[in-house]
Order: sequence, then C-alpha cells, then structure tokens
Amino acid sequence: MHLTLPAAAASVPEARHAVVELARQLGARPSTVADVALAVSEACTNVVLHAYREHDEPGVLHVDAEARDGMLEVVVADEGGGLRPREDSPGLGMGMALMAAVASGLQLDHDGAATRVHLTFDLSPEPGEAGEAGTRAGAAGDDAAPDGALADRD
Amino acid sequence: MAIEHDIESAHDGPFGLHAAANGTTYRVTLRGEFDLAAVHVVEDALERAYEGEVRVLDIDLAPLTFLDSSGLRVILGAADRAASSGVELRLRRGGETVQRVFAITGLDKALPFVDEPCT
Repeated sequence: MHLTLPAAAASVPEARHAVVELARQLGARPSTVADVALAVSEACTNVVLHAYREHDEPGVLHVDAEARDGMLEVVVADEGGGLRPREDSPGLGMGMALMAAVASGLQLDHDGAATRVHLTFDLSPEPGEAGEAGTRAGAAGDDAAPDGALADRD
Repeated sequence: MAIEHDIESAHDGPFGLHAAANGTTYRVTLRGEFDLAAVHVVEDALERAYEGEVRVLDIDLAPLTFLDSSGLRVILGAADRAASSGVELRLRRGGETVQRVFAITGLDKALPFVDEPCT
C-alpha cells in the first residue's frame, strides 16, 4: 500500500484509516490494530506539524505499508527538512513516546532530504509470544534515535 | 439560558462534538476520532465555555473511539485553562483505547477523571 497525501491535518485520519484497514485485512488482532492506529497517527502528525515548517507551500506525506515475515511494516516519510528541536512543539513531545510504546519496532532515519519513520507490528494471531515483550521493551527504551532525530519530541 | 453547539463531521474524519451550557456548567461531548484534524474545532468549543459564567467544565470522552497526542494536548490545555480560571474540570473516562494514551504518558493520575460526570 502506498499513499502520497498533502501534509495537512485532514491527511492524518485518512492515512491512519488506510493502514488500519490493511492491518485488519492481514488478520491483525484488535489490540494490534489499535497500536497501528495510534502509531501511524503520531508519525503522520509529526510530518504535518514539523516537516515543512520552513516551507512556503505544504509538502507531502508518504505512507507505505506491507506485510513481511509475519510483521506489518509501515514507513511514514516526508520530503522536508527533518525533525529538529522546537521549544514550542505543539505535539508536547509525547508522540514519539507513544509510538515507541505501542510499536514492536521503531526506527528513524534522515538523509538530509527526508525523514523516514519505520514502524513494525507483530501480526501473530495469538498474544503472549515470548519474543513480543522483549521486542517492545527494546522499542520503548530506544530513546537514542539514529542521528538524533528524536530531539524534536522533547 | 442554555446554549448549544452541535457539530457533526466537523472535518472529513469521523468526529463529532456537542457542547451545551446549562447554568454555570458547560459540557462538551466528544465522539469518534480525536486527532490533529479535530483539534481546532474542539479548542473553539472549549473556548466558548468562558463566554459565560462557567464554574464547572465537563468533557465527556466516553464516546471517543480514538485519541492521540493531538487530542491529549487539547485536554491538557483545557486543564490548564480551567485551573487558571478557577473552573472545576471533570473528565468522563474514555474507553480502553482512549485511556491507555493517558496511561502511557503518565497523565491518567494527573487529570481529574470521573466515571460519570454530574449533570
């Protein structure tokens, strides 16, 4: 699934609904679907609020999602200047913490022209797999973002 | 005199809002999905509470099916505004999907949640 949307507030629910629908089609548990909804919403909100602050025209929001090896992999990307510290952050700095708390995996990369947030979710049909808790703990504790891209989320 | 505002589908997403003043109590009921796209309409509705002589602000989160950090920020702003204005804020709890956002961020203990608001 690939979506390219305007980096505008109305695109947040549109992107979220699309990825949630894919997660449901892939048989994700209801709790996982809720995790997908929250994390995707936060990632897209980051793009809308932060990626194009110094641009005159609204930019774009890219959302890619696919199943791979029993996981749902979601990439939310922009074509802006990346995440940078912002003292008046309207996101309260909680969005990244929420993503880390609910996704099985969270990774950010920034190459100077775009920032990509990689989210993964376990599509296993039954809860309580031995590996899930450890993976989540690792994700939630992954405060040290690659290249410091988390700095914006104070 | 009671005033009411009812906004259905205030944006393209499934969100609705009902706000009503009754005496010195102002109640805002939020339905559906509270994300960035709904922020402005909720902030506007909450601001209207202070157009009258409000003593109690009830925000009903129970009909919400989704809330993210954008909605969280609005609720926190409402709490700050109420505290600085001497208004009692009461938050009717949302469902599990909504309340876990407050729990993850540690705000479930800091905000004045109630199971059923007084009417």
